[in-house]
Amino acid sequence: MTADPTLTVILIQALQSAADEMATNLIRSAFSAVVREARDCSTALLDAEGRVVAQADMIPMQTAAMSASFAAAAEQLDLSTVGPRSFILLNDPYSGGQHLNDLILFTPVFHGKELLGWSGSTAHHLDIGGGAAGVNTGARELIQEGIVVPPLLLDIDRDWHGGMAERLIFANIRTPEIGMGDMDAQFAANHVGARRLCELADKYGAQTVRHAMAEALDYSERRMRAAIRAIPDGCWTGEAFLDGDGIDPQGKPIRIVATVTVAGDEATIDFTGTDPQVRTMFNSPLASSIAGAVTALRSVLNDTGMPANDGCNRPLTLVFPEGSVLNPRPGAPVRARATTCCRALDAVHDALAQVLPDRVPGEGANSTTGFFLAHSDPEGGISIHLDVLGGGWGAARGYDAIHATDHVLSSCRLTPVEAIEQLNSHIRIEGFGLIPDSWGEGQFNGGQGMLRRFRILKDDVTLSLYSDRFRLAPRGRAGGRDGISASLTVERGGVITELGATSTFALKAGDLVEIRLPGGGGWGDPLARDRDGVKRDLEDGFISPEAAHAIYGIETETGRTPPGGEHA
Amino acid sequence: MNREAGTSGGASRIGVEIGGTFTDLVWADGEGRLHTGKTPSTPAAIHEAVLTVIGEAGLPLEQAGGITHGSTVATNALITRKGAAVGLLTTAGFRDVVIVGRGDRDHGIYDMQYRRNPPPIRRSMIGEVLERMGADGHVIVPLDLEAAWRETEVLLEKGAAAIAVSLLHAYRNPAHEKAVAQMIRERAPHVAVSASHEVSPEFREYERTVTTVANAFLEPVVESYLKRLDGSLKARGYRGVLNIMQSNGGVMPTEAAGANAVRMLMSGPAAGVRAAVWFAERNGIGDIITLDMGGTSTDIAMAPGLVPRMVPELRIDGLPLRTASIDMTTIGAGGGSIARIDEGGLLAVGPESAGSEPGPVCYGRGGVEPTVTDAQVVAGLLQPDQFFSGRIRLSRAAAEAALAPLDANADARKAADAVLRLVNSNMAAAVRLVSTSRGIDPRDFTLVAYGGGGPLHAAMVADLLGMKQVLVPWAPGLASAFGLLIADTLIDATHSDRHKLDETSLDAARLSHLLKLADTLAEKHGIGAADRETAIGLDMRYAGQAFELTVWTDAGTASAASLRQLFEDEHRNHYGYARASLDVEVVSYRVRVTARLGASISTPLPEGSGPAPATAEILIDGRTAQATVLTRDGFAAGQRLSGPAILTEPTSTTVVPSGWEAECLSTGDLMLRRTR
Repeated sequence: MTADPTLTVILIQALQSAADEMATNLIRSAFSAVVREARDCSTALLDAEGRVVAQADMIPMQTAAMSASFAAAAEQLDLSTVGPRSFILLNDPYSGGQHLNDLILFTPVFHGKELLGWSGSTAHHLDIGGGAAGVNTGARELIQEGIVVPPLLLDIDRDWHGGMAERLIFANIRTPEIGMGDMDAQFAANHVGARRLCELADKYGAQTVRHAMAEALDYSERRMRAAIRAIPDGCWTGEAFLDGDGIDPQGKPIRIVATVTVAGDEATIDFTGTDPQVRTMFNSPLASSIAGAVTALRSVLNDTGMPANDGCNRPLTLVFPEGSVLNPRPGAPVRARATTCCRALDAVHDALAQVLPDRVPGEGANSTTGFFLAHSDPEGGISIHLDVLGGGWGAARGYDAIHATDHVLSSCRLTPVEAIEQLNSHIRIEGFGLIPDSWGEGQFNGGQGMLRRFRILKDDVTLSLYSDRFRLAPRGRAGGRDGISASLTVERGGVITELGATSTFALKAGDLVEIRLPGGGGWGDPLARDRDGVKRDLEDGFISPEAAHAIYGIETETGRTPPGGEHA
Repeated sequence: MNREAGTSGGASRIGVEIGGTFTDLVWADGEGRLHTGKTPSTPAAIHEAVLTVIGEAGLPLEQAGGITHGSTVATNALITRKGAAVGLLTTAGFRDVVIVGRGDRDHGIYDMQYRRNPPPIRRSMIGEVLERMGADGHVIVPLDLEAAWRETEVLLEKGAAAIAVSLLHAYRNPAHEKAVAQMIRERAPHVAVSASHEVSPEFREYERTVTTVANAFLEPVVESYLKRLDGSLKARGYRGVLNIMQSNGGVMPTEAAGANAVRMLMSGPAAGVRAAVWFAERNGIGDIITLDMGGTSTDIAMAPGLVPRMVPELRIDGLPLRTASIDMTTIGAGGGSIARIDEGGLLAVGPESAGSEPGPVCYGRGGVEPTVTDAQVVAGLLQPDQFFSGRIRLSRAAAEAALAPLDANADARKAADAVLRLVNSNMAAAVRLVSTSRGIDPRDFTLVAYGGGGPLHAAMVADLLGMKQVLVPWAPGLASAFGLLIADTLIDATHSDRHKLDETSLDAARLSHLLKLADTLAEKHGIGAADRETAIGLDMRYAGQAFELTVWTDAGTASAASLRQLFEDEHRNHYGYARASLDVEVVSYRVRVTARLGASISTPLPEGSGPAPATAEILIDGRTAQATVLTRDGFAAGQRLSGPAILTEPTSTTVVPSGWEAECLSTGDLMLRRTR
């Protein structure tokens, strides 16, 4: 500890609020619905060595690996020439990136002539080029998924705002105005972070701020170690499965294996035994896999509130076998990497459920569902609707899970129906809501899945989707039932076509598209559920009279729902 | 009760602030005197404390011309979900909008057992109406009014006491919503109806629906307590009007309150900001930031040019409520906030609070966890024998024993110092949230400190921010009640009209609609045509963005180019850039109708006599000093005093650190100035 621990607390909090302010700024000035409404973006402050010292609570998938991204960039670039107008831009999954849509921006923070640290921001860009508007589900190589930006050390005045790099990148993107607007928002956010860091250095001295950054890491490390120490020593193995690689609907599921070893205040997570990489977009690059593994452990500790930064990772050893789906060789497509990371998380939880039965819930829908309806006007112009949809979460002892919410590795929010319809004249939403009986019933219920129903209003609309859990439903725990799985249908002239978790489909005006997200797994025997709770769920239409009777063992009057609605 | 001097002639007026712990009164009688009172609140029947505090003042109620009150009734009803049974009618296919929400997780993003606060309505109480409006406002599916009535009857049968109506795109074309609302009002006149185009005419169906449901949920609760309050006041002979404070810092008559229940959620803190503006104005101060520290939290707001900054949305208990409110940042740092060492070995303060029961350890009422108040006592800043005019005796020894474990060497004084520095730092961070993060430099602002604890911390907080002046008004512990006494009537409304910014944006056709809206509002709130001012604002953004910035304008004078300029200045302030190549669009209009109260009030001046100054040892920022201690009443207008010093008064304590000087201004308010 320092001579002045109080000042250290104050500075750690100041770093945190600066990172939060960066995020607020990014969201409020962004142009794409995926950033401004769904909030698929993240911000962080890094020290001069590129370690994340504070990050906003945004997308764990993006933030938990921001220092890995920086390290990969630093390895390739000569950072000795960095000046106040320099910046680093990258999206290459094999050089610290996530998937190509996530453009990662680092800008240096100079206090006088001295490099004090870096501001970092990641935003999911609506389009990044590649073989299809929306998602190129047929990609077999990374370069078919979009433009690859290896770590570049650029200069704002020379290369951006009409400079060569900006022109080159956005010449390869379908919606350049939106993309440039979102990049402006990223720069604005980074700028705010830099300004706050400099103000702290002005007031307390650069040395004190550097010291506080180091302390912030130590502090989170101590909390992480304390939380790991609360788990008994031991070694547990768990597994989880992806539906498949998206090519053959009847193909073999992809297996992820995690072995977790806890010794004192340290933990090792080893994914040896995980299936080899696949030809399709379900590969997860290293930065994403790291984020998945770290978040998996953090999310079931007895302390989930510690400030997230690189200090949390110090007590962890992570092993991802090379050539596996969690550490693919360069060149393999990665667009759907988040879903693979979700299964890595499920596998870690499957292992830890053996030692932390009260903290680990049943499986949730827990998949990134990227759903696109892109309209290419034959006369020119393109509009892309992107929805990031979530299903039910998994139940745990004492916990009825939340409905229709994006998974823990992400935190995307639903885009309002009214915003979608204002922006997209090619679609109208005809239904949006929860799916009764979709949760895994238990003493505690999983969360309900949800559906969205789209009427297609124009020809030349292409649907593309990547998702999971179309075959293998979220598993319940401790006697709780599984949730229902996902589905996607297109109705045209009374004929219904069923599509899979990886789909591209040409739509016509008049088509009705319905996507259904899974319900989460239940926990414990449904017969042990509180009787009043079952009756209430029945009144509220969350369950059918049949389920109340057959699964929960409740006698019901058939054909009539009891009156409800009394409040407090 | 105090007998204090100074108002203009005319009927007497009353401000009553009904807080969670105390009910405060400031009464301006017809003969130029201010009377004050404070009594414990009676949450079960809040009018009782009001009658008590009015009774204790010993003034004739029948001669009072106006009573304005602020209360936490609506907020508490919402937080505890104890409101009316609400039924909701929504567009067919969208029953679950309000149940699902936006899927946001605004706390604990790493928690696999994340919990969300439930909406104020059950799923069984939501009915669907066959109709559909398009995003451009044209009818896609016509309204089936009779089917809507059948749905209504089902909800009424299930016990709905209030009905909310929220249909898709009603902000764009409210025709269907209007028809449904009118039908229910005609066929079921006893039922309170809230329609989304009236309560919150803005896009984003979840936020609009939640706001409408919350309004319906609160309306009967608000109506009921107002009826009891009004009735019991009339029974005591009161003949004047009863007003209520809104979150926007203006008052409305109680007849309008029920239908607009969602507008009064931040009633108390808003009244405090209103008072701060009044005190700043009378001392010729232009730009202020307010610091209102109570028992459980501290509210911070800013008013550049004495106009409080507004936000269009409040977040209460996880619910996003679209209602014009003073932009307030609240942090869980009040006198009762608990200090502890966290899992990582660092000191943390709040948001857990010891409340008023058991309260801080030094109260001796069974509290065992050290609080901010305990730290204030141990640091010598709060004088144990003068707290609450000596009505509560504080135990310094108990506070020391509770604080000692927080320090590595069990040094209670060091622990107290650390707690206070952390609280000051948290407050400074909150000030930055409302200032620097909105592109405004706080150093040119004056901090106005009130609430019981504000004047104790203000100069220390100002030091952290580089602010040079702190204003401590008359009776800072009663600032909210005073704000109620002097607040103007203020009605805010919005009108959605999205279009690309052009020369028609402020033309007669668009403005005539707005001015008609202002007329209607004024009439509804009983404001005569001659007594009001109308201001018009435009919510603008770059085409493609989702969040707007508001630009206020004088009707008729602004061109599209100058509107764009105003918008881009704001955008540069907030986000650091502007882009000439992008289109700017207008999303909606704001109308604000103001009716000035017009009364002049003056507060009593200090007597300038009192007990002789004493000294006390105090600890600030790790340094011990001998501070002069005197009563505020003994510190006369024109006198100056160098820190370290402490000024005590019945409702608060002002701390003047070393490097600061206090002056009693000619108005009787205190100005603290940094001298180093």
